[in-house]
Amino acid sequence: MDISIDDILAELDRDTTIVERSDPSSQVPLTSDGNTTMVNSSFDPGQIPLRKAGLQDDITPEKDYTRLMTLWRNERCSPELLPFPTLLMNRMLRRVQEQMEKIENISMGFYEDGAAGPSQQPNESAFGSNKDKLPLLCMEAELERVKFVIRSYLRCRMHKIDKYMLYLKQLEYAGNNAASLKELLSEQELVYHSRHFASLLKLFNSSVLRHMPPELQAVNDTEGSISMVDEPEWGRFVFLHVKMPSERALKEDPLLERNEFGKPCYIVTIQELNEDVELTVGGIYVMRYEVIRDLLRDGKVELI
Amino acid sequence: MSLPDHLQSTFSPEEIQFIVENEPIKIFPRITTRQPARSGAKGGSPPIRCTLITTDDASINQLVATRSSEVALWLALLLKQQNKCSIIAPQWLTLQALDRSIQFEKTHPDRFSAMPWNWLVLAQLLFKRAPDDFHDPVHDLRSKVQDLREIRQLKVLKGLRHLNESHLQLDNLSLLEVNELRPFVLDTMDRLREIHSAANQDTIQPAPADQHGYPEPL
Repeated sequence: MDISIDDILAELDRDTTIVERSDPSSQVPLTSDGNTTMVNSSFDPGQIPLRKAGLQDDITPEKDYTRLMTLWRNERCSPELLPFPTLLMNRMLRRVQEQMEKIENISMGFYEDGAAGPSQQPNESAFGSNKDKLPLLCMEAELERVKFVIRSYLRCRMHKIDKYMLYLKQLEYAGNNAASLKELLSEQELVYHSRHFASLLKLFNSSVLRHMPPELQAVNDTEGSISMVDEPEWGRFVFLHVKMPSERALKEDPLLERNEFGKPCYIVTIQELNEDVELTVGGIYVMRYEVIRDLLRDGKVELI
Repeated sequence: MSLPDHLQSTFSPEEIQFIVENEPIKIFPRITTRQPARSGAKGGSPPIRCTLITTDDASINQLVATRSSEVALWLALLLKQQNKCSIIAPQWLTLQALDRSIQFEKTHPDRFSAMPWNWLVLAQLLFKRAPDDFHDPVHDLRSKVQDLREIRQLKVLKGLRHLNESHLQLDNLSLLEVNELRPFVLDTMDRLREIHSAANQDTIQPAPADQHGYPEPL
């Protein structure tokens, strides 16, 4: 007779390792602002320490960087402008700043050592400083890598802001969606958007548009033969990878279902073709963006 | 434009390599960075610690010579460049494992073998930067990897016949292979979709635009 004791062992494991690491990706990752798990005061006392551990565990430099990489890749592949991760970006920029200062400080220390060292023990200090360059090298190389990702991410967003200028303007004018534009763009991007729009409009107006009859002067005419407002192509195809959900999500996620092979999968519907598609966990698909948009927002799939 | 044309819808191979370089890999360090427990007796300033902001810096500060440990690939390559470590090739990058994969590819014409998503990039990187760390002769490994790549390319070519307007499933295709296919596959499928929806516009109503919660055009 076989008695399965896996769950009992798991229970024991959880006691010995204080920090719960079993489901790193379950606590609503990519809520797009990096602001996860709010500590709610109405939790029962036994729950709070666990929650706190989860919270601290969640915001580590490594996780933030992984999240930034995912956001960067999603932004590069998706046809629409994704919401700006304000908190995550603040944390990243602060860390870059601190790291730069730290490198500065350490390299200052090098000069002092080099000046003072040779007089006392020339052999050892020469050897020592040579060895000590390595950490500095690593830190500088890493800093360059982080800066590259952030730069590429922001440039990609600026490209999309240029492209969807009129569409974003429309969102702004629509009134009820004014708040949504604020969370879609960062403060600097908002400034860039409005100023770039103003200067471009001025150029068009002064060079061409003022010679037109009044009914043809609008730059955002959607009534004419061709709509002037470029919307994101919602139906554009993208490559996506279905992420492995965590243990807890496996049981609780209402969207997850099992297919005939027993593998978990999400079922999505392509409305235009009236077709259901199973997205098996771990698979790579080419799919229309509008179909998987909600899954992407929830961080269940990532674009590649 | 703020983003160059060739980067607007896809990644450059260098960026793919950048992504792959973030993955962890095992190394044999040749230096010891771990502090001995009683270093205080020696006096003098403690050596500089490496504080990293993207990966776990404990791993690099706890290196003991010839005891294998795991660091990010870019760090491993940096150390290798300085001759401070040797890189342990992953399990799948041996003649045996590659032979198995090739066998699998040959016996299953309808699917790709389960290579890791970064195999092509990782293999090229290691062949170039750490050729002396392999147990098997590098030229053999190189030719096996090339074989595997060609077999998979053939399958991809066969699969292109099935491009359609609904979807495509490409399990186990690696990132670099996806990236070189991307412009062609996506554009072709987009055109197919446009033709399809234009033909069916009268019979099937397109999805309502306000489904996304965006306002009606002004």
